[in-house]
Amino acid sequence: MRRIYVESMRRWLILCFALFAATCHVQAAENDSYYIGATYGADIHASPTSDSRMVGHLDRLTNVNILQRIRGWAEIESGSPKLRGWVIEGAVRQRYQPSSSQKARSSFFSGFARWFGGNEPQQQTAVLGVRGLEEGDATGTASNPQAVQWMESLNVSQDEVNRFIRDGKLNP
Amino acid sequence: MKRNLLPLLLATALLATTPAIAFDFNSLGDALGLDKETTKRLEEAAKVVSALVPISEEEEKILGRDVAARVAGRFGIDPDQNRTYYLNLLGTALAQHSDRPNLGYHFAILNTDDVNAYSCPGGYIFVTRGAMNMAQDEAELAAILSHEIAHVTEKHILKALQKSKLMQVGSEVAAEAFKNQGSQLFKQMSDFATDALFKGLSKEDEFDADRVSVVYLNRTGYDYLAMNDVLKLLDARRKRGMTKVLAKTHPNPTVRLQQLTAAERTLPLDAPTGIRLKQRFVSYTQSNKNPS
Repeated sequence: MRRIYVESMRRWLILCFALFAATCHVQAAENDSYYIGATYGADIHASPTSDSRMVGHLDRLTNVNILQRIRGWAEIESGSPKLRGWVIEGAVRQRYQPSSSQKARSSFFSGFARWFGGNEPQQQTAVLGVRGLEEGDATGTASNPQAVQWMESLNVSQDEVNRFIRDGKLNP
Repeated sequence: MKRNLLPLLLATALLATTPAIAFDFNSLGDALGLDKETTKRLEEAAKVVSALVPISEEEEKILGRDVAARVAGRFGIDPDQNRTYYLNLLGTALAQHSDRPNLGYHFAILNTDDVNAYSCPGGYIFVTRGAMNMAQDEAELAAILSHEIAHVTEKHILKALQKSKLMQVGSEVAAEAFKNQGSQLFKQMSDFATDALFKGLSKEDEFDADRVSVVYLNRTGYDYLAMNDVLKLLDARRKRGMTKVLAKTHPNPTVRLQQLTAAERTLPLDAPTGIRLKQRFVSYTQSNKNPS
């Protein structure tokens, strides 16, 4: 009787573990892609300059692959819609990619949460490089006070301004 | 009407001295025996009172510095010293002919090829590298800068902030927030101003800045029609689909041009001077050496 009970418990434990591991695997495979993070999507250019021909537009949250990066631009390709071209690098974001231990821990808890109906951990995002001219979400904007100090150090003298005005035959 | 005037004034005065964050005007109206229309007028009057919460020039600078740091953090600064020096000479010359000549302005180039410009409270003004490259002569770059200076002199962002619910905390609490830049309220005010920059000001504010900018151009001695030419350049780019970002922060250039042309007939402007200074513009922006 006791042996039957132990065997039954063992089978249940194996079944539970198998189901749990499968759930974790699905979750771990979701966190690898890049996507268009700009609020209003991003224009795709033929070459890495804003003056170049536009070959299309991708909406926010469209998944993309980054092929290369040059001077603040990223060459991307998108499967849906099928498109390849250049986008301002700041418009592309990478989904949070935890280390393998973090991934395992995250998957563990997300799998656990799935099982018991709790909320999954919020997906985090990381911004790559300088952000492009997208609007909104000012709260997430990085600050660069040193740049402002540099601006304030660039005072031009009144003599220089007067000479500038005089040379241009402008109004004093 | 007279019966309603006294409670209206009393309540408005009360509100003006109360750090009211959420005020139930309907309850107040009921308590004072006011009808709905008078209660609504009371609420509107209270909004006017809250809009009068003053922001000093020093406070404006504190806010502007914080917003400017976020603009710089977002795009990066173009380190080209020659171009930046030129931008500061030109910007300062224009600012001295503006309605706030003694504010102390600072100018820098943003490290992006998109065409846009940003002005923060307190006189921190940014032009993108793309906008500098789009300009064909000094007068056109002056037009872009004048438009941004006009946003500062007309205090468009500050007025929007003053009308916001954030300032309903009252002048004393607001003043404390400016002193403590780590405070939640200051952060909210900075968020508000930064959002206004990135999402765009109202169409009326943009038209207003266009109108004021031609006056500043004219006072400084530049051909004020350069502003019209800048709008034509933007319109041409818009038709080629190259200004989608600018289009989200500014009204359609065609409409701006129509509004500006109509306004130019009524503004006190001297005849166009024809001063465009293309050669100097090219010397400063396309050479690595200071032409002076």
